[in-house]
Amino acid sequence: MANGLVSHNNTEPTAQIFSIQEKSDWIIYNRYVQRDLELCKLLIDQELRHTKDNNDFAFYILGLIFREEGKIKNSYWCFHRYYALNPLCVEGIKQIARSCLLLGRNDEAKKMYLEAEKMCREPDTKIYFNLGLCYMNLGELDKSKEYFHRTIQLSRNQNAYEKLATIFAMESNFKNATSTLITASKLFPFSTNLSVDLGLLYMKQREYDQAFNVLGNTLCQDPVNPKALLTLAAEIQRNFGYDEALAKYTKAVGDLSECSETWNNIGMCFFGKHKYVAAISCLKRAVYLHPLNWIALYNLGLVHLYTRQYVSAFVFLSTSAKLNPNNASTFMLIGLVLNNMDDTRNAEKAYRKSIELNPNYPEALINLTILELNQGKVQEAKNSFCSFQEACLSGGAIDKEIFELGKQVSDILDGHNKCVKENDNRTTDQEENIVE
Amino acid sequence: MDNNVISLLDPFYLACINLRKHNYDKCIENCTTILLKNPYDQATWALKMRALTEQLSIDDIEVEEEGIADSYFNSDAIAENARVGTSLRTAPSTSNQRPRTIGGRPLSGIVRPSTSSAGGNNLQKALKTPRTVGSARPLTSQSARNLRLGTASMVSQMDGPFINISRLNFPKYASDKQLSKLLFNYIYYQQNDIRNALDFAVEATKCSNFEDPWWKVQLGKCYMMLGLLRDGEAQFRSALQHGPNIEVFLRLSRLFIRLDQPLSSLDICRQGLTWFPHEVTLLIEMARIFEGLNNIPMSVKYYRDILELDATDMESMACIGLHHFYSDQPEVALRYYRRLLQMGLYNAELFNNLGLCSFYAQQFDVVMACFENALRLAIDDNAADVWYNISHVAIGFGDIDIAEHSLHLTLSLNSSHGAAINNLAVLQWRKNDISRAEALLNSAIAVEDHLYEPHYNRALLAQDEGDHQTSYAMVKKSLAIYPNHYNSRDILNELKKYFSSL
Repeated sequence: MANGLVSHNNTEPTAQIFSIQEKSDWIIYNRYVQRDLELCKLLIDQELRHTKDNNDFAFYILGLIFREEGKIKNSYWCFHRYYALNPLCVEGIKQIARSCLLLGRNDEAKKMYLEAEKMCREPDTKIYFNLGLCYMNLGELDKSKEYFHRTIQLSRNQNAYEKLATIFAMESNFKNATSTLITASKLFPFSTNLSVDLGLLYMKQREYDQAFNVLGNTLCQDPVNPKALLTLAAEIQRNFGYDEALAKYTKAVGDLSECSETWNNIGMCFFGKHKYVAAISCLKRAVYLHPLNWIALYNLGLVHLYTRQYVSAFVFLSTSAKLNPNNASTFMLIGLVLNNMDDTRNAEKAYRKSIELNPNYPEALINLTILELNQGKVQEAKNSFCSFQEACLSGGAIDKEIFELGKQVSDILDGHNKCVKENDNRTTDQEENIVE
Repeated sequence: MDNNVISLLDPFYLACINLRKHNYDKCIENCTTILLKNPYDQATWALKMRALTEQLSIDDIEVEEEGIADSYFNSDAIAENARVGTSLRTAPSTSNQRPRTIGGRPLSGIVRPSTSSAGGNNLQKALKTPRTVGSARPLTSQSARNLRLGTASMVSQMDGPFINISRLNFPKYASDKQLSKLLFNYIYYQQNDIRNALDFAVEATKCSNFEDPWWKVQLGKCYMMLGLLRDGEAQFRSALQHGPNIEVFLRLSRLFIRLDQPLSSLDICRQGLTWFPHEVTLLIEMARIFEGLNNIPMSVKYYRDILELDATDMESMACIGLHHFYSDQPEVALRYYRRLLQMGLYNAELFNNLGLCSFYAQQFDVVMACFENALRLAIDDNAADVWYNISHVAIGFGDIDIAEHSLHLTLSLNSSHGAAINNLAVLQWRKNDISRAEALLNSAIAVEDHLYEPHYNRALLAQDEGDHQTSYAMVKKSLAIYPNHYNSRDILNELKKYFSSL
């Protein structure tokens, strides 16, 4: 049992302090490590009254307890007292700085930590990590990266890896972010957080197979991790495995029944299975839960378009467009809806708006071509078709249907024939899990 | 009718006719003139007593709201910490699909005296609940209605009270079978003098050799009013031995609700139903208790049974409609609300509900008409709610400006509308006006602390700003209101990790 005579070389900060103290400190320490916090507080109270507030160790432990209880301001005050009693100890400054950090006063925290760094004879990873956090919160990403790097070099700190990867991702330097996370997940193979982050990162880079593997491994360790479940389900859904995806979603929904995005994805699963009524009710729930979710509104419009309820489709799509006026495909769908309602003039406007937002958008271009053909504007149609061909060449994968349609249109353009089949576009939007 | 003919009538008969026509004032006037001529006319005296009583009598089976002080000092509830599902106070608050009333209960389809009261027997909570227009709760059990009765009796008789109860010879009148019941009703309802009423009832029971169930019920009523619930129960039960009676079953059931034993209450109702199958009042009672226990499916089942027996029961229709609305079937809810409209209900709340249902059921053309009607019919308090709903519709159409305007209108009508302030904060946040959002969220929390949303939003905002202490405090509160909120728990775990690392 600890009796107050632990060797001075121990690097554990609490133990270090504890070793130079006498008498009742070891009782407090014992209670603290046994998590008997209420009793510990009483003991500290007694001790402080005894010593007339002259026991620095008691203040230190009290500060830690307050912090755990979420009373950061009280703990800040305790650490201040500790520092006043023991101005040469780095630990005091470190804890004050940490309190500042938790209170959101990043600038002050940074200054304190820099001071602490000077006082330290040997490099301290905790200081580096927290400095990294301060700089990150202050928006100085380069310095922040530097400090996180130092932390990683000196120790294996999982959080530092995570933060570093986050910074890389913020700078959209996905390669570095991925490599950081890969090293981290090798060091900490059982951390689900890391592997989920890695999986999400792969998803963002559209390396779906890798993401699939990583997330699959995560689920082996933690079969009900909602983030992993949702992402994996979204991935399965992308590969048309709707039933499997649904099974995964239902597993996750127990936890996140109020998550608009989940309901959105479930709705799109049903849509993929051609169960339109179920899809509409799921999407409606998504919209009910989060009325500003433009993706769900967009999908709702899409499903209504499919069920030939053009007015409803228009209402939802225009709402989606109002909430997010920068999405080209929303305007393309609005164009289709208007075209179906025989409002060709506005349909053309909508197509043009869509092309304005995304000049290389083949679906909008081909629809515009068809519209112009139907109106008999052959020359303009030819121009649009040219840009369509360019878009097809410059862009990546093109839907087969579009390709077929393109062929038909080119035939027609050649023969100036005017019987054109209408085209419906299908875009299944998926979203990675976002927890508000 | 010709006035002359009336004046030719026998004055006593005239008084009787007036009573039957519910012209109580005239009846009393007539009786007074007769009594002036002949003060010992017992028939007239009884008639006047009856008129005075009926002027003020109310259907007292519908419970009065329990006062705050009453529920705090009340030691009737058997278990302090009752098991979940056995008490109205600890009813599980799992279904979060329904919004809550200011007392923290899930919304009911209809406003009843007891729906607005807070669930807990916690004085602190009751006092902390802000006193807004919508949440006035009487402080004591001698509620406003009873007090009014007392004063009214004074006003109506300028030259002293009609009967001086303290001088009444109780044994003499109690033995008179014709008069005693009328006199008791007079003392109980008109004078609201429960103690004397009890004395009188005791005398009368003695005179009837303890064999008249009517007197036993009256005794029970008096005990209930005096708070002697167990004595009341004994009286009601012994009244039931003379034969089943719906009123007695209902009173017993109410008594058990006061004792916070909803399951016994349900048992009583079931027992009543074996005698009177298809009795609507008993079924309504059961449906309400189930709703109080938050067992919505059972409640709806009973409401459906009621509708099969009595197709015009508004309460059932409103409750079933609400249930459908909150279980994602606005189309079905619309049908129930339209039926209510057909039945002649014509008020702001109904049009408001119709508007919301038709909005969610995509009948966009009628939405605005409904809300216009609702606004036309609304008085200040519910106009705020109507505007609040209009803001939802506006958000649904993506018109954020109108949404904001309607929220401002809501607040101008009811400055303590927590949900509206919260939504306004979210809209400001969306516009990146963080400081205003923060201020609004703070006021939302100050105004109504039964909503978890402002707490959660505030926590999120504080988390974004790096102010972990505020975030922690807010998340704790959010979880106290809604323990299963996944996102709050997520934040809390993250914060705990922060706080435990050195």
